[in-house]
Amino acid sequence: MLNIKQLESRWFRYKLKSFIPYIVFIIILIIILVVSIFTNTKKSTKNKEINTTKTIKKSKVIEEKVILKPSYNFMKNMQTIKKENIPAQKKPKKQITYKNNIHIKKQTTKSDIDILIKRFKTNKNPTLSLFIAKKYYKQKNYKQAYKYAFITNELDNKLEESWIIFIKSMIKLERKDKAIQTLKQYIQYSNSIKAKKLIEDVRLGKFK
Amino acid sequence: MDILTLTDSKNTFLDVVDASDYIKIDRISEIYASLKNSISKPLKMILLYGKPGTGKSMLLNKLHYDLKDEKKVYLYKTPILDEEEFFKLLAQDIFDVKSDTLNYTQFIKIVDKNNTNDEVPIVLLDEAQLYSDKQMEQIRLLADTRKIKFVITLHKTQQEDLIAKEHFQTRIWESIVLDNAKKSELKTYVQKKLLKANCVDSANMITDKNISLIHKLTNGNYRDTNKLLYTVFEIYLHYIQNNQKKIDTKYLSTKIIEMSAIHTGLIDA
Repeated sequence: MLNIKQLESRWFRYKLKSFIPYIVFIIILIIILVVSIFTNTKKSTKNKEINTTKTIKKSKVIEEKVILKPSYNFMKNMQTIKKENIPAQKKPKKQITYKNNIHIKKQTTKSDIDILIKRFKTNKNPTLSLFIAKKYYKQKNYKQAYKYAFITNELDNKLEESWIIFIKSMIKLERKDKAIQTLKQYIQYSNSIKAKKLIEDVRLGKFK
Repeated sequence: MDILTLTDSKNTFLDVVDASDYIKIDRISEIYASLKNSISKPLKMILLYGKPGTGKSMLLNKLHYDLKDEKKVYLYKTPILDEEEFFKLLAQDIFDVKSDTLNYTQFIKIVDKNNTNDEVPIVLLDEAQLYSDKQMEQIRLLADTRKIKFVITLHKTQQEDLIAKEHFQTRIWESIVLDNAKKSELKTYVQKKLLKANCVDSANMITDKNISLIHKLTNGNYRDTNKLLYTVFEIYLHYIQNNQKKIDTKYLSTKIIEMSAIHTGLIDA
């Protein structure tokens, strides 16, 4: 005689048992998937961090390069314009006046110098500080010109221009004796032609 | 499906060896034809062997059923393990000689006396592996006389192979091996069996998927298949009588086949 209830429960147990390998396999698969996803996420986060750091570093380098190069070019351009008297139509900061002949008046505003100072504070480039010193000197801000010429000398004491601006500013600030003394010391040290010419001009009263 | 059909279907798979239940399957029919052909040859002995449940007894029964009206064929379904009893029974059945006591020597004398040379009686011995070594040796000697022909069935096990080698190797004219059914053969067997019993609805319930599962569980063994399907229909009957909503009689349920396999011990659960 069949005991159906008992047979049904035995069949249910048998079915459960037969599914155990599949269940175990699925669980193992899920664990592997979860672990691999977790590991990948961790790796990618690390990679992202590394990439970000690299990008920051790179961008810093790029920024430095970007800052340095244009400032040189700009300076060179300015010098070229001065020497050759070529109209710089592309430069928006330069005011152009038309008379009989074309005269270009270069005007560096205060905000331009501020930007240059800001850049200089970031990169401490002596060429840039020299350029600032020159600009201040041209604007007759001799105190600032003196200051930036001095800073330039501290960064690189071989720059002839910085010495000249430094001495000229001193003279303009009515420290002529000190200026001549410094100029003599510099001539001894560098044998600079420009410096010699300057000392001659001061003696002759050509430069006051 | 009604209770009567299910009952008939169940009874179809009762494990009873009856020649009238013989199901024609191509491969088995070929083997049977070969066996029948071998009987007509002047051989001493035919060995029919295979694993339990492969249809040896059924073939032997079928052979007896088919030949009993035209030849002297004697079938012994169960082994007669007592030596004296064995010869008494053979003498009585074959030669119509009754005796209170009869040993091998006395039986040989009876054989010689009653030998007509017209027709050699055929003795069919089922489950021959149960006979003792001494009895097997006497059967071998009797076959050597060519006055009685023996067709014996043996289970194909290591031990029985040994018996076959030791006792019959030189004497067997033909040995026939029976194997388990293939999937397609099992399908034919089940379908034909049900259709023979007019259980058309039950036959239609069985799908190829069911056959695959049954074959997997029984390994194509006819006896195990009978046991399994008997229990399957018994379970169906139970549900029809007690909880009809729980079953669908359109298709044979895998669950019920598995329950049946658990009950018959084909699945260890």
